[in-house]
Amino acid sequence: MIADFQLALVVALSCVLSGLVWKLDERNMAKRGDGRARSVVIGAVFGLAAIMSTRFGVQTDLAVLNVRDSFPLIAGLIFDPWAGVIAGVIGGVDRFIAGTWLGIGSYTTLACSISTVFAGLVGALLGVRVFERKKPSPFYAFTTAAMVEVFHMLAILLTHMDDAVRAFGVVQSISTPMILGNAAALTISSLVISIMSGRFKRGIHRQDQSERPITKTFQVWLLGFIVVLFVLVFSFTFSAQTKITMTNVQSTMKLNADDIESEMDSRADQLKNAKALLSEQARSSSRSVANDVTNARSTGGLSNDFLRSLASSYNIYEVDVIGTDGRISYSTNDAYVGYDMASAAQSSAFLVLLDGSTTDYLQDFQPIGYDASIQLMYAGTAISGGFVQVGYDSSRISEYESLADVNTVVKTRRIGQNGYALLADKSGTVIGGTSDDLGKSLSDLGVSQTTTGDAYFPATVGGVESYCLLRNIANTDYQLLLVMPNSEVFSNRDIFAYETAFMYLLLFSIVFTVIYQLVKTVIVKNLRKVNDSLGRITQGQLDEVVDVHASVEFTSLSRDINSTVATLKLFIEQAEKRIDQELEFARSIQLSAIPHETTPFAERPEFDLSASMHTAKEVCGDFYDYFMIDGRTLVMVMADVSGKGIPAALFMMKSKTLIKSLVMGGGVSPADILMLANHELCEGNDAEMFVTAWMGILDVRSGKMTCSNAGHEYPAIRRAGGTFELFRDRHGLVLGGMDGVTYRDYELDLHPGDELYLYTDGVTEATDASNELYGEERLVSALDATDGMKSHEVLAAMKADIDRFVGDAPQFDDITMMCLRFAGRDGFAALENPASHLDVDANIDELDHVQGFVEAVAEKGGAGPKALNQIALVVEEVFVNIAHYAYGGELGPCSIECTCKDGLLVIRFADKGIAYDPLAREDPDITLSAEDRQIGGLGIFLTKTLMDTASYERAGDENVLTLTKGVL
Amino acid sequence: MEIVKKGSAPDLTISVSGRLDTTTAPQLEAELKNSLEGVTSLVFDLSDLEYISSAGLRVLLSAQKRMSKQGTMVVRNVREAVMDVFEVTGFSDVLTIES
Repeated sequence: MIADFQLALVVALSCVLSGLVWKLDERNMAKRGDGRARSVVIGAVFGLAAIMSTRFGVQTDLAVLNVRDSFPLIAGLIFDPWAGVIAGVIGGVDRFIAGTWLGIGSYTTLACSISTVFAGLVGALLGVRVFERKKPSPFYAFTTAAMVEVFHMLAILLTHMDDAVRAFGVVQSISTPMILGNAAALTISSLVISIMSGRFKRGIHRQDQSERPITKTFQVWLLGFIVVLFVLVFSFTFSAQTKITMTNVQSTMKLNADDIESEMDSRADQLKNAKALLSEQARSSSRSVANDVTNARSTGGLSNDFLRSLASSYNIYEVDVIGTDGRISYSTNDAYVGYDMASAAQSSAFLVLLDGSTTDYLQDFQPIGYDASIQLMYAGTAISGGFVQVGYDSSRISEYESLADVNTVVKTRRIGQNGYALLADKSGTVIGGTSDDLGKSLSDLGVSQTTTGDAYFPATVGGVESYCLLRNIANTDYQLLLVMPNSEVFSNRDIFAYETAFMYLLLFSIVFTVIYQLVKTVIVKNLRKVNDSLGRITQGQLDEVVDVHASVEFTSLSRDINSTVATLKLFIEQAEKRIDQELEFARSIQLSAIPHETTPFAERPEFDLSASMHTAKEVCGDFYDYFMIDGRTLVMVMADVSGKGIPAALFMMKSKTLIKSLVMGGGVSPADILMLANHELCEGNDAEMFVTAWMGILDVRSGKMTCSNAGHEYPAIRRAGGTFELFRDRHGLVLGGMDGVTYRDYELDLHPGDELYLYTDGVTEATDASNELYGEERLVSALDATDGMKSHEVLAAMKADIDRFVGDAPQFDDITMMCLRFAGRDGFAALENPASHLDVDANIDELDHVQGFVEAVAEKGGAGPKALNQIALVVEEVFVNIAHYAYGGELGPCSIECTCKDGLLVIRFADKGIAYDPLAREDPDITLSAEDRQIGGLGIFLTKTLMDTASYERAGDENVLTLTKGVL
Repeated sequence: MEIVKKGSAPDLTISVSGRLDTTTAPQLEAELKNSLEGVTSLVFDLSDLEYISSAGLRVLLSAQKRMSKQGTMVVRNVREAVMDVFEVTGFSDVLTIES
């Protein structure tokens, strides 16, 4: 009890040590990681613990109880394989030293040393191979430690084969506490550390079959099978062993009983023979003595003394001579003389010799009639005048009698080592055997059985559990009981049982481990390989080949998977092809919905428009649109749908159609159209797509453009003669984003020579290999480099520049562009040749036109804003004059020629009206007060004042007014 | 051109923006004809007037003539381009111009 308590304390201490080491190790690992030094330190710590365990074990009668073996196991299984080996070697070597030279547990030195080293190796091996450096579950920790201790016990038995009984005694007394103690130490240590590291999971929740690893299923089944096998095999051998033992014991007992019986018989025979011999001796002595007495009587020498001499010479105890009266007349014993033989039954038996019926009489030993305390054997011989009797005392026969005493036969008899025999009489009283038992009854001793022959049975005899044989000896009144203590009967069987049990346990553990390991290497490892390959295939690596040929099954599995993947690949390729075809259709439908002539409106002199779209995918989400709604109104749309691919394409088709139909349906302004479009697009927009759009409506004659922007990129604009700039207009919300949003119109007046460039974010967000964006700066400078190009050339140049920038990087987004070059009503020819003239009706409605024409020339010639303003004023004054007066209210032609070279602007107005020289008119007096001033005449005055020269001539039927002005 | 009237008789402010030329001057003229009844203080705010031609000058002069009879007329915030024309034509002396 105290020993158990001590052991429990040691177990608890070992668990505390494990916890402590783990805590320190964790901190150290965080700092330095694991390495050789860590293995050595942990190995040394647990080796030291093993030494302490040896030195401070619990002393029992034969051995020292300890948990030494658990330390190498803890080190190897929980911490580090090498630490386990080191701790095992330290603990083992120390145990050897302690046993050999220090006298600690010397008896089991070799076995204990080997076992400790073995524990370290097992810890390391299992830790690496079976538990894969994970902490073993409590169940496996317990089993492992228990098996190592079983090995330990078996080692004790095997190292003391020549002293099996003693070794067995040791093992029997220490095996249970040692196995449980070590197992508990490892199990609890493992649990403690699991809890400390927070990885302890309660194993109560049942795992579904589908979540259980195959090895686990194998483990459970294998373990169940092995346990059943162990129980079956062990109980079979055990019962067979018991049977054999019983048979042996029974035959031993039977032989012993037979021996006893035959010895009793032979001793009885010896007694009988001895008696017969003695009788014969007595009879012949009696006759000789009778003869001598007859002779002596005849010589008269008969006396008591003579008889004494005879007795002496014949070695007889007593000689009597009896007369015919039946009384002793002479005797070796003087006191007997005169004794009447008839006075006692014993002596009266001899009186037969007097009646002549017999001459001899022999009587067995019995108390004599004279004195019952004396036992003698008598023989008598008739003589004349009486008879002679000789007596023998019992000394002659007692030797044989003692030999024949049954008590002596069983008393010394040993059955086996500690078994014994008892002889009882008919009533069951012990009459032969150990002196303690003599006189007791068999039932008092614990044997109540009776038998008529042999009976074998277990019984507690004298308080000792024993196996018995009870024999009723034939033809006698004796019962023979043979008793053998169970401890002796089953000693061999138990030794055998322990050894077999230990052997089987170890064997089955090894079988278990090996099969488990095999399953893991042959099945699980390969399954994992297959699974890894499948994982890669699932991630889209369809070229992955499963290549596991560990067995026929795996080869077949690999082949099947590979062919499945190949088929799949084929299907995917076919599907891809089909999708490609459909996308191609979709693309052509989409493209056909978008105007795509290279040079549309080639017939229009006022502008030059071109648009292009380069899709990142087969179908795209960008779109543009342009169309004329009447002879002088051009509508332009540039838009970008969120997302790409088919959804974007569908949304794009809807948006494009919608905007165009709204415009054609009489849309008032871009802002209104965008607002209506937004409303429509928001309706049922479950996909939550949206579209950014820029829209402009241009009067191609005046250059007046009304625009609106729904979240789209800023248009880039270049004023005639200038450089491109982004026109940072105000954005409205994207279309389809939120219902009820309004947009804002703005005016953008285009003048001859202006250029407008529209694009989607695919341009500015085009990305090169190093993930740099094309950006607005590059856009603007690339646009500036397009000076003088036609619109479709501008687009081509821009695309080329973007491509150059992007290089080999893939195109992510659709690239869509539109370019408008505005020339005004006179067309590009007038623009490119400012010297050319303008023919208009002399009508003030044409004023803007005329002003624009002259201003363009002047601007191109370098006129500044102030000069341009003055020129515009002069042109107005002159043209209005002509319009009002030249044709007297009728319409007539007016031709204007304008050049600007080297800073000299020359304007020549010609009309076919009535001859009239405006310059001839007197200048108004500009010093007069308001009341006195004339309303009129100011126009010509301004003309003369603001221009450098003004001259009039009548050339043929034309009034020609020529004005000049230095504009620089 | 845009015409914005602020206030009512007798104090009226008229802002003219954009271009005041042959095509637009008649609009202003018509507007003034209807608006000056009972006005004793007329202010022209020309801060957004970019351009003026003789047609515009004529309208301003006739307005000045009428206002001289019934009250005062002031022209404010004249831009440089317009001021140049005023100066060339002597209107800067005729009109009461305030900055």
